[in-house]
Amino acid sequence: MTILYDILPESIKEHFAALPIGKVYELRLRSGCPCVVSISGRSFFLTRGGVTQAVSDAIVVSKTELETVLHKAADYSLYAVNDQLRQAFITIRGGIRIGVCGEVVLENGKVTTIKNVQSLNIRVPHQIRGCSYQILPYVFSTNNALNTLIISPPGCGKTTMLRDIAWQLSDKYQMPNVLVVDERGEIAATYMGENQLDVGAFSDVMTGCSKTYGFENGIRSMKPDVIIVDELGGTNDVEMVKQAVKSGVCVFASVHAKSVDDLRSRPVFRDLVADGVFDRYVVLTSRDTAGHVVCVYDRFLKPVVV
Amino acid sequence: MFSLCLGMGFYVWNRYRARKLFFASVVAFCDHMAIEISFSRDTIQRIIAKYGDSYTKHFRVVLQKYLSLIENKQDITRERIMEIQWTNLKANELTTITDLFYDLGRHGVFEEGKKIAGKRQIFDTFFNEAKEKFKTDASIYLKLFILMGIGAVILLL
Repeated sequence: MTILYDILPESIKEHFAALPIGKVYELRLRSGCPCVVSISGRSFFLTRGGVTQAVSDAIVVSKTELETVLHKAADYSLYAVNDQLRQAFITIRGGIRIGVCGEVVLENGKVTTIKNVQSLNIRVPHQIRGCSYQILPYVFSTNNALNTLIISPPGCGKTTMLRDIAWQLSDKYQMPNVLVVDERGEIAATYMGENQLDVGAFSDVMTGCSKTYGFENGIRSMKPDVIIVDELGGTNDVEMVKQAVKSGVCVFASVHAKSVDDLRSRPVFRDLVADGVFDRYVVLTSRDTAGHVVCVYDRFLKPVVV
Repeated sequence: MFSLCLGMGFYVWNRYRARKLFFASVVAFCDHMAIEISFSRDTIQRIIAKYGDSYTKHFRVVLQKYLSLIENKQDITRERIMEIQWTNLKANELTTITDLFYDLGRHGVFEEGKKIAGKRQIFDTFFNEAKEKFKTDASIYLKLFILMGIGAVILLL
């Protein structure tokens, strides 16, 4: 986890040394505001030599420190990651993803970059081998993978679970072809052409492209048996999934929602549920630990396991 | 005595020449950065590695010291850049070159390109001044020291 240390300004780094670095999930830096650290899903303020819950003791982050983080994260060459920056994030070695908020620069109506950065959200990915064990018996039927949608609010471990499913499918079940459509580079955390996180030996990763591109071209060129995709959002994403399932490809996807009812209340997903595109719905929460399974539903939204 | 004066003359002449070559390297560096940022978008380390050999020895030393800050994952501050072995520079030149290295890699493609182009213009002015000074002052000093040497030899004899 030295990568996280490497990108922090020296003024913050010294206080970070005392933290259980392996349990740090997230770091939020806002200009002129206290530094917030998420350790095992709980948020604290960073203070001298550790963490605190007293905001008065918290270390306040300066604008220069924010710029330093971004500068270092981009390997001292922010222009080199301009394409990612336009999408308000950059992914660095180790799969660490830095969300960027600031002044969006537009040219002819198109975003060219973000400047005068005001806040950063540094998310540290965790490879938790076996975190999907609990659901595997329910998402497989006589050696066939079932179309599965993982549902949870942000920060509950959807991506970690998808990553583990990719690895399980590829290595344990030896699915011949698993395609990971990794739009934001969060599942496999590809950096300079190398996957920073293990998604299995039989997985192909298409990263940095839209889901539409990934599905269309991935199916055509890689002939996958299973597609793994994170964070379904708009109508296009849903249509792509429908097409893929119709063409016989199994899809494991995730979506931001609190529950299946919440999902059904959204027009985009209503048809998806009604058409029975997914065979299984897995609802997660961060109640005890990230990736805690609340319930697995079948295609008719009847609980299979609670 | 003559050799001493000649040596001093060459020392002064060489300082003017070094300034001229140094600014020529800085201007070339700005050009290389501008091109690479627009096209390859390689990192600063790669760009320096690619063009490093085409610069003068003094500027290569400067770049090496700048790169060592990056390799050691240090924060790039103005103070640290000022600590780089800058020699033979006036105060305003030092400020401008510190700004150049401090600002490197801190912006998106378009803004970075614009900033470098702006700095390049300033360094081009410095280069032209240094070139002019080399043409006029350096040769005068060299001749003056040679004459001083001859004069000193005559006096001694």
